[in-house]
Amino acid sequence: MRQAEICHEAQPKSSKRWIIFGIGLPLTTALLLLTQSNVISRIEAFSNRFSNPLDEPYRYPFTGALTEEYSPTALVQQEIAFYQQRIRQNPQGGLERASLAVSYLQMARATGEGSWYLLAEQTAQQSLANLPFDNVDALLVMARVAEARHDFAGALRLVEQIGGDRDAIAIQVTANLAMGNLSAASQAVDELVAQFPSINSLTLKALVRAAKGKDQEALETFQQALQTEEVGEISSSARTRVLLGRFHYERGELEMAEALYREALRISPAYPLALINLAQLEIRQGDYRAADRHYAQVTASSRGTLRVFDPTVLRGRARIHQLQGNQSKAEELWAEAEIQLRQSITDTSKETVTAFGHERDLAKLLLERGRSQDISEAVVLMRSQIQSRRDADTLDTFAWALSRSGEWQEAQQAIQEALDQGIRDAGIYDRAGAIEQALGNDARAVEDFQKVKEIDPEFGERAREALGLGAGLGS
Amino acid sequence: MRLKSRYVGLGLLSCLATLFFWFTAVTPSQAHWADMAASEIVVSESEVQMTLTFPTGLAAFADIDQDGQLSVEEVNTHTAALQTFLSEKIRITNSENQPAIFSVAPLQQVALPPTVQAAPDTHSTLMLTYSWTQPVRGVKVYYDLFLPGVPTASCLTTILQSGQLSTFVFTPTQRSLSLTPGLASYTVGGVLLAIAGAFAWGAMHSMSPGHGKTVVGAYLVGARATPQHAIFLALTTTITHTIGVFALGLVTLFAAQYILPEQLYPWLSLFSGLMVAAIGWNLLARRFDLSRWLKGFSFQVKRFISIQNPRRSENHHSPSHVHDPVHALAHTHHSHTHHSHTHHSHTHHHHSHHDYLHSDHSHSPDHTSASILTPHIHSHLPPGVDGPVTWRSLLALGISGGLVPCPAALVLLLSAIALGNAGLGLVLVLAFSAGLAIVLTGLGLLLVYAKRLFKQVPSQRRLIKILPIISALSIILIGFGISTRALMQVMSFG
Repeated sequence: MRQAEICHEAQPKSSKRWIIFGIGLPLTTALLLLTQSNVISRIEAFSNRFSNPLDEPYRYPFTGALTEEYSPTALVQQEIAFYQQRIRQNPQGGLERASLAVSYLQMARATGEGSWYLLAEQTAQQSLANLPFDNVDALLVMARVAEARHDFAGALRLVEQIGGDRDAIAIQVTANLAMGNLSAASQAVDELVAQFPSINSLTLKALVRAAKGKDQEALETFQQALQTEEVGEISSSARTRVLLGRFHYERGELEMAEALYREALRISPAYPLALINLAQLEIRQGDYRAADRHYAQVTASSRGTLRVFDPTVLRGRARIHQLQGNQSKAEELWAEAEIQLRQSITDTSKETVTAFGHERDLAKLLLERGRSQDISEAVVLMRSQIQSRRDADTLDTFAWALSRSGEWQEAQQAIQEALDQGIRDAGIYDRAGAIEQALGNDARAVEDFQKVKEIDPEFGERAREALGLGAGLGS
Repeated sequence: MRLKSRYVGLGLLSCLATLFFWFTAVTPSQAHWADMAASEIVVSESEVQMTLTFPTGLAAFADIDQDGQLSVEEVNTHTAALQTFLSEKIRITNSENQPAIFSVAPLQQVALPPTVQAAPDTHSTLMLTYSWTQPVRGVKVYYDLFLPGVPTASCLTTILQSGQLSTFVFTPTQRSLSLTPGLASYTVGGVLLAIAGAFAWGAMHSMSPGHGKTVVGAYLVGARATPQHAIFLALTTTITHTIGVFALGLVTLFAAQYILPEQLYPWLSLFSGLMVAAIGWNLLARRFDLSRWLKGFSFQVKRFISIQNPRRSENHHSPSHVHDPVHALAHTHHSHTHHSHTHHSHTHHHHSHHDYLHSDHSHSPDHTSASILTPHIHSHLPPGVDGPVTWRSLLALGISGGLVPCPAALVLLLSAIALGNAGLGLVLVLAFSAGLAIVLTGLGLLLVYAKRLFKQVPSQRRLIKILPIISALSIILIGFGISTRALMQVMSFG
């Protein structure tokens, strides 16, 4: 015993030095790692290697090429500076202005800030004034801006002047898709993929196939799209995964949807489209706190100017507060979203397209807020919207507005038109079932509700609570 | 004079008419018309040009034909009124708050054919020019051209200044912007704020990867370092870093047409990496003398054989520690079971082959239980291993850590120089470096003090006796890592 005590007291100093390394080194390593500004992303990247539930091709294969400081706008800003300087040297030049307009358009897409569309359009117009002939880029910018304003007919009119350009065909696909001309969209997208197979063209094809209800084909095309992705296509890689995530979400495959959204965020951190869809998924799963956190991430990147997805975020946050029983806060958020949406809708009284025609979003807000005095306006808005847009989602919203105003027969026609397009959407079939039920067509209602379960076996009250809060192409 | 006052009167009247129009026609909750404006600002030596695209309705008084766009003729007709209206709404002054000579001009635009017009025009574009008779060192922009009562109204602005583009969004709550082509135009408070900002930026930036934190950390933990060593190391890194920024800044300024700074970085990184690796190797060599270890190992093998064969065992245990000269690092003590060693800090004068003193040498209780098959290696280490830290090695390490200047600090310096205030640029880089130094010093002190705490913790000596070597190897690996990466960059440039 005595010997043991002596031994303990006599712990040699040299051994103590070793302790420094035994505990100190790992602790220091941890300390140094923790003081790195990118510690969270590093940990995520490390854990992702082992915990990523996705397999090829869903898993992003170029992780090593992802940089911490990736900014989708930095390079575009350099381009803008370059072209602005060139224009100062040659104010009458048309091509430089067209290139500048393209850069502004890229900024619009990257940031979601509507003002960039304005700059793009004005610059493209000036470019066309300086160079009226063979100015394809300027015309494409004008067409894209028209599309962003939901002036699909105008966009198609513009691209008709261009011919077989890749972007022109892509605009034909999206515009026809939005207008409900699925055969035209399908024809255009097949031409596009045949000429320019890429992640973007194949994603468009998958969307057209999904809109026609050809789920298996859509899924296979999404997979092909991911197989063709290349190392520098950060935005496209993230976007395709979000859209594929939505495809799975709408079929009740929530785990897969979540994994794809998170993979998109790994590719492009703080990607608004992924965050908004992830928030919708969290609402459906009842995790309102997580959903609110995702919305907050989107809001955090705002610079004060209106972005196209800001109203969706406000509507989503309002929905969360409504579900939590905080009606006053929900009303506050709806009011804020309403102001934004009213600023961005078409001036119907003048029958002109002056802004980003988001009548459908405003109508959705008015309907989900549930005030009886808003219903008639929602119907008016949707009657206006379907003049230019007849995709399944728009027709569904129209049917919703009509059913809320008691116009059941017309609602039935609208929802039937949506279903006739072939789309397999549980939400739309659920509404169709409700309309049939209200009309006393119980047998058809049962059929519709069965179809709901067939498409999305998990569809229920929770799914209804999260309806209409997704974001992506067209919504 | 009368003409001028007439124009001013007309302008004011037009403003009032416009405001009246908007107040009566629009209510916040029912605004259906996007108040979206955008502008491109180009800052040059004594002039600021703004290409402003704004909702024509805001200057409806000039839109005579009410087509939603101001034509060249309409602008020319209403130049004075527009000038009065816009000079109130968008004010740009120089750093001395002197207003500019202001002019408005239409953008020479040819009417587009209907086939390329997707939508009716709702916005107009004007060229606003603000000029001063003297070169300006800084300008302030005050923007107030918003749709009244619309909180989300905004004007997105791109600013091209010295070849660099930045963007800014004017909103009803964010109406002013300072552009600083001459940082000297800042007030004293502004300069202090800039210095504080640079300091904070440096401190935060030092948290980002790089800056030799890993190497410093590995060294300070691995070596017998004191707080003075930590401070010295951090200061050396910082001073080297600052000198590096200045040097590279000067190179960039004077030799930009011959040498690209981005091509210099890989070479500096390569040099730095090799230096780190060399330091690591030096540590390893001192901690773990390979040749001696190999000889020591062969000695242990011989001893093991001799124990297996007792007839050949002549040096079974010797309290006098007669060490074979070859086992400087790893000598064995067998069969210490029959007595306890309590000899603290005994000096091994008999180690005449070592050029140092084992001032801290002691035998651990393991001596009492060391088995033949697991021969005990105890610490008779050369200096710098567990031994004293040399200032020379610290200096070398500090220089290698700070040799590659951060691009952030370089940007700070070059921006200041480009904006015509090199002096402030130098001050800002110093502040940046001071921020860097604070963090590195703090980290170093933390490691040194934390290390002392660990000395109190009971040890598992056998497990950790190789860790100094791991520490040295880590430094070598880090050095090779930096070098490899730099080499790849060099090759990619080639």
